[in-house]
Amino acid sequence: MIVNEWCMYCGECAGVCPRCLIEVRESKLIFDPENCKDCQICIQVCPVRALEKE
Amino acid sequence: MVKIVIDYENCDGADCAECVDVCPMEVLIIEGDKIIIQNKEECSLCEVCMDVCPNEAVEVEDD
Amino acid sequence: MYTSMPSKSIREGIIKGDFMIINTDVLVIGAGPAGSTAAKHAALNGAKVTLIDKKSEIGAPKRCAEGVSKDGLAKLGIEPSSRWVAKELSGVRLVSPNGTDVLLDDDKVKLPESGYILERKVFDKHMAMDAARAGVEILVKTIATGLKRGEEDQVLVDVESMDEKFQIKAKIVIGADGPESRVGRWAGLKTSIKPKNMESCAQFEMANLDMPYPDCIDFYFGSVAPGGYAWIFPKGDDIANVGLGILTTKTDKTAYQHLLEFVKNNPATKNAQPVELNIGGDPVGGMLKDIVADNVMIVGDAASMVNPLTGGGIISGMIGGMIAGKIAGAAIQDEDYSKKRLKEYKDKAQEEIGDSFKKYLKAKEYLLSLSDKELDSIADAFQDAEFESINTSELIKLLIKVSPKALLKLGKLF
Repeated sequence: MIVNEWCMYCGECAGVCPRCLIEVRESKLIFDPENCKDCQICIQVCPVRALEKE
Repeated sequence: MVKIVIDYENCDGADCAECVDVCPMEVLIIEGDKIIIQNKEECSLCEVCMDVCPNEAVEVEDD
Repeated sequence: MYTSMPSKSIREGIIKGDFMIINTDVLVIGAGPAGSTAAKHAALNGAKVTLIDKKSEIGAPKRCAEGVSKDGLAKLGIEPSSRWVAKELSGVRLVSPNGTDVLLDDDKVKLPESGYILERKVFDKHMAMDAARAGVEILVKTIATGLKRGEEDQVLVDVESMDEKFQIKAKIVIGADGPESRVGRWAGLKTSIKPKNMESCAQFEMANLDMPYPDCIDFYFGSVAPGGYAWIFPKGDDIANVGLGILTTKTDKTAYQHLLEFVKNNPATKNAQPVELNIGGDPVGGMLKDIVADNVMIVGDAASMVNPLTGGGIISGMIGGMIAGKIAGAAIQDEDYSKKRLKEYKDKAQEEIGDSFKKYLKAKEYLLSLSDKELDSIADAFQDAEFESINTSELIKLLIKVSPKALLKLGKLF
């Protein structure tokens, strides 16, 4: 998953991730790609479409 | 096409319903004492149902 | 290598650099209004409390429209202060898709978010300061990265504070870490929010608005915000939070795109300019079922303590925090941090918060089922109604007359 530069670290993606793979810090988004099944719910909910499929 | 199969032999049904609780798209739901599949096309393939099932009775596959 | 640390406080330990496991009674993760309130009440009830927040500034950036009710603040025993009340409001204006509006006076209809518009940056800090005065130790720019059960009926929380990594050993952890909550999940609670229960929100704080009723909060319904609504919450004569929440299951556009359209088309915002952009998720599915585990409670947005109809969660989160804090303090005295003991929090929160959400959840379902045309005809009927003499049940009767399915969807809830 690509985190675009305009991400505002609001954490909505982390809240919906069914596998709890996203950790949102003050100005950094840490994503665990290993356990991701590519459901893309995180991409779908982002208010500014900052996430993209790799 | 998404394929979701519940192995009813091993499924504990509504008494367990762990998969129903975690399914983000509400594809797995309770009907009576059974777990059933609705709006299969909504499935996001996150496979969390498979993770939480204590009996390995759910199988999700993308053909 | 971790060594046990004799330092009196975490900060002292950080300065000394001898790391470390730090002991505390109650660790609160997240210093929003719910977390600070929980921390304060745990401390007031005799516990040693540590409050951490991942951000460098408590209260910023806001992810919220900043509305609270006067009754809500009073219930929490909080005296309104001019330092954090941006504006006092007297009514609510409901606007249908074709612009028909219904004005409701505050004396006649009580809405949970109507009363004051806050300055969250100041308010959140004020609540954290209250916690500090109650004896809570606060660490900012400090993030929890994991939780595991230790021996002696305690939990170990991995923490990072700038370049320091250490562990906090706590008897009780209160997760107030927002809709993106990880604390609950670490403790085995199912806190992931389903997309149909997560409003995707975007908001500008704007100036130079031209508001016809600057003392009313405005709600705009229909296709301007699919699955939610748009709002204008005034913070000054020409200043307001202008935002909306949508369900991404109901539209292909993002919340931000919908916001740009709303601002472009709304007469009040035609000449307005943004000074701030806020975004975030709002969990509107009703309070979560599982909010306690052994040694762990979750509060606020993390527990979906948000009114499902309005999306407001400041007061309900703080009430949840107050209940959790008090019970944490009592549980520390009893030396019992089991799920069984902490369940008292869940039961009280259900009674005080969760149960009241049920009717709002129904009302939301009904509202979201209405087409733009139906909304317009309802607004039309209500606009002509004489509100001076109408009470809630008469309002509902009128609603059912215009929109028969209200009977089915709302039943005898109100």
